[in-house]
Amino acid sequence: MLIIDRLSVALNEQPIIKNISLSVAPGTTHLLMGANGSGKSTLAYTLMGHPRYQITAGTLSWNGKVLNDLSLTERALAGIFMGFQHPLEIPGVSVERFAMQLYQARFGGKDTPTFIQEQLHAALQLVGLPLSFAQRAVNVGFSGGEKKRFELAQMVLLRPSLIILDEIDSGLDAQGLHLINTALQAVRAYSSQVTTLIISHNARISEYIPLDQSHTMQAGFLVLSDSPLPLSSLTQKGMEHGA
Amino acid sequence: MERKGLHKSIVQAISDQKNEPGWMTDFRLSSLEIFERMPMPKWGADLSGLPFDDLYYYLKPFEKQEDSWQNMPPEIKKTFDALGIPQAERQYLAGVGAQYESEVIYQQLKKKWRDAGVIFLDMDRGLKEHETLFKRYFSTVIPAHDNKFAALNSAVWSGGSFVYVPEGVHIDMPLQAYFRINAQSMGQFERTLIIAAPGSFVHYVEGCSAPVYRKSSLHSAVVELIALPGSHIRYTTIQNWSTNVYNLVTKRGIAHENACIEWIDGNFGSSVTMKYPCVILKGAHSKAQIISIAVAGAGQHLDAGAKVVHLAPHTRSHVISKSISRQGGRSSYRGLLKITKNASDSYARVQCDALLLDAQSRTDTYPTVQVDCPTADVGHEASVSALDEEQLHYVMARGLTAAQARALIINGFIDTFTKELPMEYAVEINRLIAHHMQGSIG
Repeated sequence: MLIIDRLSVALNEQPIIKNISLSVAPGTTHLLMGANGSGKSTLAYTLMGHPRYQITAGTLSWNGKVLNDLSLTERALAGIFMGFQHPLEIPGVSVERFAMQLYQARFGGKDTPTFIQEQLHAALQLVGLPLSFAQRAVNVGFSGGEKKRFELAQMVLLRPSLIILDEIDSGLDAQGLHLINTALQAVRAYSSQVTTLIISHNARISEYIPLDQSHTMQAGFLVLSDSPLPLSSLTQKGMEHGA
Repeated sequence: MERKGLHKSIVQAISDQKNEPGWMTDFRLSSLEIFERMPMPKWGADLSGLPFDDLYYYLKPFEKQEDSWQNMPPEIKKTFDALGIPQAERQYLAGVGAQYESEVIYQQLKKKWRDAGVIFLDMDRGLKEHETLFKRYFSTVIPAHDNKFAALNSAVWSGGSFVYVPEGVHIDMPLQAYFRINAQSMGQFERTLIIAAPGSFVHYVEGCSAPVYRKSSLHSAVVELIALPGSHIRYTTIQNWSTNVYNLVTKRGIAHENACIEWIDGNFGSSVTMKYPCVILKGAHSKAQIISIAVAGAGQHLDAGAKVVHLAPHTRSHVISKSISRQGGRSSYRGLLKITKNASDSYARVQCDALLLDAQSRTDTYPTVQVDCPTADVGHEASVSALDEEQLHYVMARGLTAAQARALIINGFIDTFTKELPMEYAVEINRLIAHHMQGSIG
């Protein structure tokens, strides 16, 4: 269970998120909508533990454990994964080497390099990236869509239990959008308890991913928490609040 | 003879002890005069702390490197642990053991090389057994008067390798100074001479990523390469002297027609390094590639770089230099690119990238580009950057610690260098960087 309890967050002393509360039950998928600047990405970074975002009030907890004081690394190793809106390039580091190190950090050194390589190849294949990507430098020269696919491949490889996808749909074509759900299913194949928070400014993502609930943020406040709605009314609400 | 300070009698005694021919004794003595006459360089790193009078200029191998493993500085022991080097090998690499078990492999290789006509000997034996060949090339690339430290080496040189590869012979396995019968090759004033006959290929590897501990504080080597027409010499150095050592080295190669010389040069240790591997592109269509890295930590000033002189038409050179400064360390790139008027249709590229890991560290670039030929195509690029925090956070968000994330990013930064190394060296360099990064995290 992810519990966000009366959370306020500041960036460079500027309040961004204002007293929001939200719970996501194990095994469910929630959508968080809102216009640019509404605080959605800030919430994603705060959940992941990015040091630039300061929690000024409230508590984050995951499966009963308070996250507030855990580092990025600790949260990642606890099974939290955030797909970045803008994944970073790491020149000179091959996808294969990167994957190898991430996998070993997450699961320990018990698996052989050959096994990890197979896992990586399977993940790349699943998200529609050619195996030649294993030899390319991480995100260097990748198109926007390829970067997003590689985020999904890492998610599949690392099998997190709490997934936060920040604008994963931007840059993906229709085929790529379908892959988001394929990748999520691949992670869920290991555990039915995987909890997912999808962040997007575009309600169309609900066409591609079955949702349990959706929420809308505006100017740092959580203004709406609904059961999944038909697309038409969702889009309408998103537009109203995003204006 | 084993006393401190430098004097004619010491130089004479070195030559006597080695039972050298008269011309070599004369060469040493005249080099000593040149050394005494030449002023200290007024550029580059600060050498005012060099205790010339407090040094030994000739040590019998190991007799003075008598430290036991127990007496090694703890920092060096820790690095060996981090590199995962077996105990037996450690003592050899650290210069406190005689040799390790690779002797058997070495003997097998030696037979293979001998059958192909390859000469791979220490310099003393090279001079004794192949005097004519030796004399023909010795000091032809780097004369004693080239610089003060080349003069010093010329006077007191001891150890190093003599390599000759016959016409058309390609040596697949790198020749490794590592495999040598004794550690003379890692001596204070080593001198290496490599001659590649037409159409031959050799890769020579010197040093290793393990720290090399020396009580003595000066390492002043000379390396001369002669690449005859159509030959290819690749010379890889990994330098990790303990941080009390002044490492002042002159390395230069001459590439004749269609020949290629590559210097792959990695600098991790020493308190002060001044080293600028050089290629003289003497023959038409000759090529040079120089890839160097320097990783300077606390108390270190690594002044390294590259020199290329284009003397003939259609010559090509490519210089890539990467430096990393951390914990108040300083790294400098000092380069010379000279294209003479005869070097028509030549091509030269220089790229230097510096990475600063903290605000206390320093990096400088001193490029000299001199182009006297209008048809030459010359490019120079330089960049200085800090470690990108967002990159770090991205990697940490996938489960690596700050130290692991830094090491990964830095290993990526120097990948251009690492991928040129034999596999086992590349692995060790990655571990060495990871070990350094652990120390950098507060």
